[in-house]
Amino acid sequence: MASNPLQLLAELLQSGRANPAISLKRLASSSFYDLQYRMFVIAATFEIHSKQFGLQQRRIGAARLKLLQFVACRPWLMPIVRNWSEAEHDPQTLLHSSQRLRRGFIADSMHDDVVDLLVARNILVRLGTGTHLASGANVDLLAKLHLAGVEQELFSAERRILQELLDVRVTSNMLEGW
Amino acid sequence: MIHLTAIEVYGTSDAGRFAGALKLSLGLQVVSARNSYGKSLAMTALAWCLGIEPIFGIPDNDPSCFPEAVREELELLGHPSARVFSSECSISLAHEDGRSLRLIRAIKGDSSTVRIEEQASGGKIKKSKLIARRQTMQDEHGGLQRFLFEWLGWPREEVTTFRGPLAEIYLENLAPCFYIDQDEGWTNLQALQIGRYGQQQIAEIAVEYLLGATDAIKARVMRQLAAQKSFVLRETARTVAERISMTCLRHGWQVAWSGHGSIGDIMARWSSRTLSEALKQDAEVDLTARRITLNERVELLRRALTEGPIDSSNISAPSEASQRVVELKRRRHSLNNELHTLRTQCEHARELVVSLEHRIHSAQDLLRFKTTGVGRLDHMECPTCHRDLDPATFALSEQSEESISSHIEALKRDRELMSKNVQSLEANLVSASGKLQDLDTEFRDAERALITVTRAIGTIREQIAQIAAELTAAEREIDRILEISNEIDDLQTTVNRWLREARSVTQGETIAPDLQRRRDEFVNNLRQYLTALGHSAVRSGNEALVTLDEQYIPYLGTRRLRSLGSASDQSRLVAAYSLALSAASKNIGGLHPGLVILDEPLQQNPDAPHRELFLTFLSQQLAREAKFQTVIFTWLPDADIARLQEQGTKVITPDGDHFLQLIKSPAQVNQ
Amino acid sequence: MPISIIQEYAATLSGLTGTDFQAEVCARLQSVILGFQTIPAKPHGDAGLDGFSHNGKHGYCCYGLEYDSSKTNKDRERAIVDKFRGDLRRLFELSSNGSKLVCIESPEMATILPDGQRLEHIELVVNWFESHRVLNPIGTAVASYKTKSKCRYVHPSAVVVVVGPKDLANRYAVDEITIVRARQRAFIQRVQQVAEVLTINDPRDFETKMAALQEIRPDQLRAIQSLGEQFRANWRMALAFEQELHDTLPNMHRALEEGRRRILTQVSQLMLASNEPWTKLMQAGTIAEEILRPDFGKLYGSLVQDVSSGEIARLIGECPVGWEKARVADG
Repeated sequence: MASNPLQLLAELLQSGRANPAISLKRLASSSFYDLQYRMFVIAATFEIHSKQFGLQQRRIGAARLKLLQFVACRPWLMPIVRNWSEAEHDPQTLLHSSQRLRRGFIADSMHDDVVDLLVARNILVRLGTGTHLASGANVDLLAKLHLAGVEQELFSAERRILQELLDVRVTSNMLEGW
Repeated sequence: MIHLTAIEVYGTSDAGRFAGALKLSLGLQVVSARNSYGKSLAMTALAWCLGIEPIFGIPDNDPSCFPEAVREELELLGHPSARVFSSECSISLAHEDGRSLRLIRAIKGDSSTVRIEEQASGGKIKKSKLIARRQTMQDEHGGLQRFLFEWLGWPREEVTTFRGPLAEIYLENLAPCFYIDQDEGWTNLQALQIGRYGQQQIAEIAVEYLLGATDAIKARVMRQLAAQKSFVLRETARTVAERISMTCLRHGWQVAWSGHGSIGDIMARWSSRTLSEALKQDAEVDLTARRITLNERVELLRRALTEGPIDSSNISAPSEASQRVVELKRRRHSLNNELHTLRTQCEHARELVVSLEHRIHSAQDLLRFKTTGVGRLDHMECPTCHRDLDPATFALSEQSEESISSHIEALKRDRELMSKNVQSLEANLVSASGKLQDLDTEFRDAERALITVTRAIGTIREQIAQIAAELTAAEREIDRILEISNEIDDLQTTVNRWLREARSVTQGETIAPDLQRRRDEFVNNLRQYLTALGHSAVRSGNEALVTLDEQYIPYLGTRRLRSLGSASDQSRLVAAYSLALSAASKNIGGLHPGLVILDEPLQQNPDAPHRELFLTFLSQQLAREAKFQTVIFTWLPDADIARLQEQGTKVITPDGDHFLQLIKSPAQVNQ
Repeated sequence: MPISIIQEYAATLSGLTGTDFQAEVCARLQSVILGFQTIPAKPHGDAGLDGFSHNGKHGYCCYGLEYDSSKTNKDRERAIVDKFRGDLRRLFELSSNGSKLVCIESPEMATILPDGQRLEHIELVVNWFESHRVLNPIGTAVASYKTKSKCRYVHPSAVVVVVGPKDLANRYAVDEITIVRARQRAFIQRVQQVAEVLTINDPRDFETKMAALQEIRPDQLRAIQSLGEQFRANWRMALAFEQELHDTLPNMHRALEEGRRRILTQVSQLMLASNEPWTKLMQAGTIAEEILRPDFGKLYGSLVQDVSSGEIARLIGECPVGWEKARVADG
């Protein structure tokens, strides 16, 4: 008998004259790559974490937005973010706790693509050298998105994490290098 | 069967004594009086005297169901605000066998009791005082309902409750079938049925009781009890199986002893082998054989210690003892590592399960979110370079609902895999912890033995010390095995007890043959009344499609009758249902009291066609010649009254503007 | 004699059916005719027209006959004639009321053709044109429709021609892109057809599949149990790996998702194209490794092999890849 499980399986199925059953439809992408989902998370992050800027605009640091939305999609990383924030004064602990998370959110290029789309559509605008994102002429879409989610009690875990993140001090050091 | 002969309300005020009375007779009668006359007061007095005020959702003995006029301040002739000092009401009932009964209960005063005036046919009046609500059924000497049930010749029946203990059928459970009040009675069939007593299937039971199908009620209750017992048994089986599983895991044994499935499945599984047999077959553990083996070993060691020869040149004892300790240490260390690994794996697996659950939840929310259409981006071009600003330009896409559904299914499969993995890891953790505990005990014994052996002087003492240590360990092991065996025996006793209880659960009898006949009678009458009352969905031609389901809900074909027809058909349905139940009971010798009280059926929809249909019904033979009492409270214009009277329908038009009037003293009368 | 590129395209085209044929024809025409416009059926139907060009003067109706439902030539001729008659009636705004033709209004045509424009040349493109017997009934129908119609959208002197795969292939230059595109469509359609035939209808989970395997080979219960354990372990590892990527290397996670899709496509392609599909399953691990190595080899080195096994186990566990007992033939 074969030691490779695939080989064993193949031999068993071949000798048993089983019919193959392939369903391409059953292989679906993760919903993390759905545009509407990512837009919602950005909308919720912006609504909850952005600050007043000028008379009518709101703004948020681009890196902060990236980190916050990253964690919002992954609630199980919340303890790591807390530890990271609390361990700011302790370089050794900092190194241990932060590397995975830092690497993760920095490498989230889909977020960058979504932000590019939002900027192109004037939903958000880049300020200065792009360090900040502010509300654009069409920012209402984000507000509507967020409101729809709240009214229908959707994405409660993401929204809860974003609220919890209000109590976590996200320092420039944590966003450093981005 | 009984009928109401009078409803009276009276009291004292600062303007003098006041009273109101309504005389009623057998058969159909319409009590026509304007709004604010006090028709509802008469209706409430009826319920109050019967002690069934819980149907109004108020506490026992609480007269707040009465208008303030009869409790606080009353408008009487010449006295617009007469303060009420006391008030009470009474109803008089006549039994078809000639007996009569008058029930009197205070409204403003002590409402906890009801005075009874009972008269046998042509005999003396016997007076008594009964408790209206407290222990009303249980108190055989003072309970009002106990008395009423006996007077009416009604059997007392017990029904199951959601809370556990049995409860009785009370008059307030039956009244919603024939007492239809203006406020809520028309909103649904048995709208005033009591829910807070927790009686199961009480609406169906009430109908069956009034139809006289008490055998069917008993069968139903037995089925419910059996179902309750089954539920409890299944829960118990799961608990017992879990206990067995944990006990076995603690000792490092994997035994298949499941508490899932139907009672029958569990009984078959648990009867097929004992726990000891399961241990032998699944975990290759035979406690009896081990005990025997250990006993033999103990015997051997004892003999070796007490009489066996000792080889003085054998110097292996210390090294053997030491070797044993080393070996156990190594095993303990290995088991510790294994436990640590298992804990880490378990933790990671749990984290993975949590993340999968979050992802499933998010994906499900996304699916729902997609139905809102919010966030969809319209086609747009960049105004300067005319580049498409569609998501595709940015390598972004929106997933279809089908894709997200497939993703959710895949995640669920992943979650199932990981959840089972967590369960398996947790079981392994328990097992490994148990093994570690046993190993610790062995290790401690081995360490003690090593100390004793190394302290012994001379090879003979060393060997004796070793044998003694082994003997102690073996005896301790026997004790442990005994303890485990007792544990297994206890669990087996629990299993046996469960099996006995499971065997004793009967499923209840099948539907009493008598019930079908009674149901058919009810349905036939219902069809007649629906047609006669002019329900728009039921006409002669399709009335045969009217049926009742298991819960006595009327259907027309496959659709609930309640959902058919116009808004005013709802009151027709309620009226037809109540009247048909009484008629059916009369025809088949049921337990219906023989009276139906309808308060303001016309007010439910006062449009002209509705009124016309109702008046037509009142003129028909079906209504006029019903063999039970029907009392309808409403207001009719003079023309309608005249029309009904012409056609032989009895219409009562009380004098005066109000039900309650000042009673003039004889002197005042003479004046 | 080597088959020419035009012949190959014609053959591929004739192998397509239904919407795939229509999509290929429209793509073909769009690539060779400037100003060709496809007409989507949404929101309220395409009024019988699948595309137009020359500013609304030329119209195109496509029909990809389903060969399974029309087995004989006569069936095919009838199906083609019925289909195109229906399309033409819609273009001429006519409705068939028994044997009579009745004028109707087609509100959709007003939203499709440019204002004031009428079709002067109509091409009926079909994937099977092996019989001239379709020409007479269609020609006769067109003549009849012209007399009955108000001709709001079709010129009374409009020309209607039937075009088959060979005609379409010969008419314009066929380049490699065209061939690749057509082959791809043909392949996808074949895979889908086969997958539809083979896919298990009710969503069976991994346990059910292993139980089915035990039924298929009842003499190998222990081996199957052990196999199941190994698959589950690999599957768990794949999940853990995916989670790690998701949290720390989202771009790699995306690459993994792409890789899974490519793995499944290649494995299914191999299996479905073979008479001994299960022998191809053995290669699944190697295929997976080849696909994943470019993205993951540098970072994960020899771990890629385990990752590949894990992904295959996951495909089996999450049920895009499965099996069922062979059905016993009737009779």
